[in-house]
Amino acid sequence: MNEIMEILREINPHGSIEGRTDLFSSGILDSMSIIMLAAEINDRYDVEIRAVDITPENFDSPENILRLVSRLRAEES
Amino acid sequence: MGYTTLTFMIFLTCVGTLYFIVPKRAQWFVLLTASAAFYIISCGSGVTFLAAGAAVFYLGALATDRMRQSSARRAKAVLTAAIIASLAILIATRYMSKPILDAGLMLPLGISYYTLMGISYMTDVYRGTVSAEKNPLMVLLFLCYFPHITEGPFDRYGALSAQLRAPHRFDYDRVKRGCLLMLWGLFKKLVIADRAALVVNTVFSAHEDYSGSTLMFAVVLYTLQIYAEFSGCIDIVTGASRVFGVDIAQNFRRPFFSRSVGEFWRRWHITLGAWLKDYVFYPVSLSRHFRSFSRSVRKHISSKHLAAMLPGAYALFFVWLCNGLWHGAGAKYIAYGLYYYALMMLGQAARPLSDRLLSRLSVSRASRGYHIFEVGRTCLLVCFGMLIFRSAGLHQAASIMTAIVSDPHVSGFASEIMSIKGIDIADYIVLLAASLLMVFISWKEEHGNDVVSLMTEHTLPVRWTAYMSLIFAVLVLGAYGGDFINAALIYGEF
Repeated sequence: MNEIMEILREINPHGSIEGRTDLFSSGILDSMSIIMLAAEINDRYDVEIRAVDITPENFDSPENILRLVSRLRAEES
Repeated sequence: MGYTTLTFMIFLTCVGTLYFIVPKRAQWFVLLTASAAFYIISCGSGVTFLAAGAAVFYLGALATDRMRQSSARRAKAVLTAAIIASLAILIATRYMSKPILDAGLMLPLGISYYTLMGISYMTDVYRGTVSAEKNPLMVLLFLCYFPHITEGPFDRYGALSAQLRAPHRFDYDRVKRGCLLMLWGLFKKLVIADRAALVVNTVFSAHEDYSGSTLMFAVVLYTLQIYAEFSGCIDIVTGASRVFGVDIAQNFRRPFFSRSVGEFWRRWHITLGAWLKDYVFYPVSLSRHFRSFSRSVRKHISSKHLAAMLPGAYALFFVWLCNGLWHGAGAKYIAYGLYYYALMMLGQAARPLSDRLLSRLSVSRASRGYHIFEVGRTCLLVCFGMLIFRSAGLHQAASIMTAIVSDPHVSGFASEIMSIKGIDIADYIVLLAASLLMVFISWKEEHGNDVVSLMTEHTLPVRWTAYMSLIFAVLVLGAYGGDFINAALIYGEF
């Protein structure tokens, strides 16, 4: 979780992300931020985020992002 | 059949009456029959292309879905082939219009819209987010649904098909709200857009005869015209669809309150931007090839900000190129798309620099003054984008831009605009008053209201005064007859 938060802060240094459950739905994470986030996650966790995974359910909060990573790791193992 | 014609109103009344009389399980078939009739009345033998496209999307989705069960690679190949086939039909009608017309066929209505909707349907089936439709007539209805066939929005199959299938009972309040939204749309189109068009068409057809200030005025009026027309027509079709209990996708969200061009394109023609994001940007930027490119960029660029930005910039280039190409393959449309791309990239790249500058000037991005500056800047940048869009070509756009900057000749402005044939001081007053009303309504909507509720949530005398005023404005002040031409839909030509 700390790693996910660190990545989010690097990508979006101006926005407040703590406690938010609408990072994607509200536009705090726009499409460029999502791509940067996906690239970091793909590299750090050795997973492959696909276009179909870019949904509010997967990106609205750090917890959701972590759940996505866990699911992708489980699918690929 | 234009959405602002009496014929369309009669058509809608007949369809609506039949829709609520037939058994509910047959309602979708009424919409299909009405949509087919609308299509054939609008473009006759052009329906051949619609049928061909519908066959590609229907069969393509079924085949993709069947392949998905056994082989993802084969499913992708089938999807790709179907997309290429549908784009081939689109390109053929765009660039082979003469042979098609010589063959006695008419060009298809809304092909740019239904092709992209069909591609999104097949792709969603491939991704597993919607099931392949077994009923070909339902696919046909999704594509040619008469409220969205001419100017969009780009609906998604999953959201729309469920509503088209669902039974809908007559609901007076919903029908009333739908009709009021249509009335507001007619006001924007006929009172504002078609009136502004008279000035815009005259000035742009002979731009060398006008000074820079008049040219700038025409550019601003064109921006007003295209917004009032496009959003007005979307209001009309949204209201018409709401009468049937079907909500089509939102396509505008007060774009001129945007603080950046990026935000502008999330509020203007929303469904086109969303389509390009979901079916071009994400697939390109999440592809394996792109990931390798992204990794190598990050290794070789020392600036963390640029290294993070460049991979997205590469993917966005294709998005904005496609945005331009969707409007047309001429140089001006490509320049139009890439103009916004360049602005967004400059803005992103310069962000650390602008942060430092604002900090030195003790200006906060959250301050009201800076907010107003950003909105004004965005409006100006959009106006110059519209100059490219409206001009006959890049040469005219450059010529007009040069005149605006080098020869404002403000003293001649009043006499020049009053000399434009067919429009007088009364028309300018009507245009100004109607535009201010539109801005006021937008302001209220930006603060949580909606235009229909603003009309309906009052006492009876106030409500009916509002309704009658709007009807009066459309009937008496609408730009038809005499010197006005009921201008063709700008976005109906794509």
